[in-house]
Amino acid sequence: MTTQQLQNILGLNTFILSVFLAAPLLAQEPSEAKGAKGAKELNLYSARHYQTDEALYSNFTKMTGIKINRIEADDNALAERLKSEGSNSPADVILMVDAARLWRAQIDGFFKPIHSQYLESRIPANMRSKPDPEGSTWFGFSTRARLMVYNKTKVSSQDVDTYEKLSETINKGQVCTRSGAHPYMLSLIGAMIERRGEATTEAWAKGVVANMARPPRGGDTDQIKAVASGECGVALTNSYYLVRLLRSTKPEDQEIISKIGFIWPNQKTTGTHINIAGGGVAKNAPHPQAAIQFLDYLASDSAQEYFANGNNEWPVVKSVKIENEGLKTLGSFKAENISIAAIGKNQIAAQRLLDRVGYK
Amino acid sequence: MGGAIWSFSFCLFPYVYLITRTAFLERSGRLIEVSETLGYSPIQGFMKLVLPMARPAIFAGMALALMEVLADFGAVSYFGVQTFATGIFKAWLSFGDRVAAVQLALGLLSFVLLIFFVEQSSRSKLRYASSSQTRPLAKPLHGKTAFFAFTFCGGTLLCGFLLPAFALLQLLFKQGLNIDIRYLDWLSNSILVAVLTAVISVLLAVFFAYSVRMNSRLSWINRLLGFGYALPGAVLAIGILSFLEIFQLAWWMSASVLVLVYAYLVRFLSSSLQSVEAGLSRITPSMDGSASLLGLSRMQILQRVHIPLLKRSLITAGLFVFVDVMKELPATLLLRPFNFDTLAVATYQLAADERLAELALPSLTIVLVGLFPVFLLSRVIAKS
Repeated sequence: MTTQQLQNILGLNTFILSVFLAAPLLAQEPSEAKGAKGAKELNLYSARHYQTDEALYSNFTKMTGIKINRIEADDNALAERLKSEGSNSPADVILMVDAARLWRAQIDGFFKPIHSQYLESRIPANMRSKPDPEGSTWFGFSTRARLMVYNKTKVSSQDVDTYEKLSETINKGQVCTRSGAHPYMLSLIGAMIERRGEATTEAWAKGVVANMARPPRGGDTDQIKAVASGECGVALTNSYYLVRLLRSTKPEDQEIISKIGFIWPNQKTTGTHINIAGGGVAKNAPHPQAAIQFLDYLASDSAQEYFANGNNEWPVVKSVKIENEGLKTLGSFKAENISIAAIGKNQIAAQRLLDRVGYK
Repeated sequence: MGGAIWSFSFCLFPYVYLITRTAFLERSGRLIEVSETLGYSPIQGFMKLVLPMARPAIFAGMALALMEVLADFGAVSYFGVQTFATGIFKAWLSFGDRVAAVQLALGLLSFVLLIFFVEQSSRSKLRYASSSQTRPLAKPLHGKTAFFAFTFCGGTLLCGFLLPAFALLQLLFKQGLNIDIRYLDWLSNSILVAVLTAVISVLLAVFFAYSVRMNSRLSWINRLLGFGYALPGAVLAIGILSFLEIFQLAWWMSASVLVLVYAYLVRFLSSSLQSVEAGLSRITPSMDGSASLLGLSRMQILQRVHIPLLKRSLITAGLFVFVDVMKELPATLLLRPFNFDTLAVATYQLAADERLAELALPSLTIVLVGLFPVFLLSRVIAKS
């Protein structure tokens, strides 16, 4: 091939590449979209990974006519993307599903503090960030708890009524959990570090690893199924996965439920660990009015009922009526009272601790 | 660990299989016949002649498979195997330490560099092009050999494809075939971006492969491009995010699929490059010489001699990239624009929500859409 032919091929490739380089110039820069009056759009970055949320978003669009543009990813993935986008980020609202991650996002400056009478009156103070003169940065919209399920024939309920008992020898070969690296587990460990100190928690984690029926794998629902099949005696799970099974009409799900019992850990002591899902307005939101409208919507009765009836979480607004039979079966419980900031601060220590004891 | 090895072996052997099969078919059928006239049995002829001559193809396939394993996160994290990839994720996501993640990634890439270097130097002195292109006469098998061949091939197909597909089909029918309304969106997004990337990567692969053919001192470029394949998708995403952050161009991600396609190219160009290079290595310099003696210009040689001979390699190259992009996940999760969920992303979100029944359809679709190009390729190979 002569230089001429090589140049021809090079030219062709350059042409193709330049078409693609030109493409973003044809796309609107977010700052231009900012000025557009009556732009009926909302850019949502959400870590909520629940299929049932589709109705939540389409209801908002139906009510207000505002179209929601979504990017859904893990809390951490979203945080990385927001970090890179910096002040040009097109995000309007950021939603996360873990308290530690919310705190982290607040510290990293992703949220814009806002004042909203409606939100402040509806959401209890311990379910939103501490307000400073400029307002609150994030608001919780629903909660979930981390409780124990156990196989009624293999384990008795008195042996598993606290998190601490998971490391005792009476439960040898019975314990199953998901991977310790998952945010739900890290938050539980972070809360434990806050309550009992790092050394005690490390000893506890070592004990749990020694008691495991199998190395961690799969998600919470997999643990529930393993408890039902007898592979495990006791497992930890988030409440909404359990409630989903409780409400299911499928015969195989009902069979699983018939074989397991559930128990609220630490009721006589510090209370069961809970986690918050919530969010706030993004720092450089191009549509701040729509963003606040959306947050108000999430705290409204219809959305709050939806969190309960759709995704089996508990709404933060106390006055909302819950019609979820599964949630009613779980009943009320004493919740842990630990500051979100503490859980957030302890997350790195929690991961390191788990690595030291070999909790996979 | 055993589970992971089993999964990877059955999942990744096609890389070696496809590239090597093309090499066997195109390799002179006379090699075996000549070796038989010289007194070798078919097995000896295979071991002493055909196999060594297919070495570039085999190593190209193995290199791809090796890099896929290094880059994988899903299977190893499910089976609880602690690898570089899981360590990189932990450093980045749990510890929030981008720098540590990148350091681990560099360690991973040094290892890949070592492998390339070893492979390259071991074949630097050998020449692989051969003059004739006839297919071997297919000999029908009988009795024991036929049974063994059938069981081996059938068993591999069963374990690697039929059983997992059946499990997914079962999940699908259990939940009564409720198709999510977003399904068509997922499908069109996946196909759009996969086809786009495949076409561009084949063009680029041809460009780079020819550059090296003309000037072998440029071969380091191809080795460099090869690293993308061993890079876990999330690490690539960190790199691109950091780069965009420095130049304040991160908003490009939300505006178009440009950044996503670029990430795919960095990640997957290597597989198309390996395939095109393996194909080019079978075209001898004397073919070029004969053609120009017969009066063809350089461009005509490319059109009338090279491209027909390379057709299978080009299609294989496009196929690899198409399938890889269809199933790519971490970079897609991080770099995609608004409202752009692919089948892989949808499967992952449904899995995160622990809805196994609902994810059967998107994941089966990824498999089926990947099957179609494979059939195409088999027919192209069979036709010639």
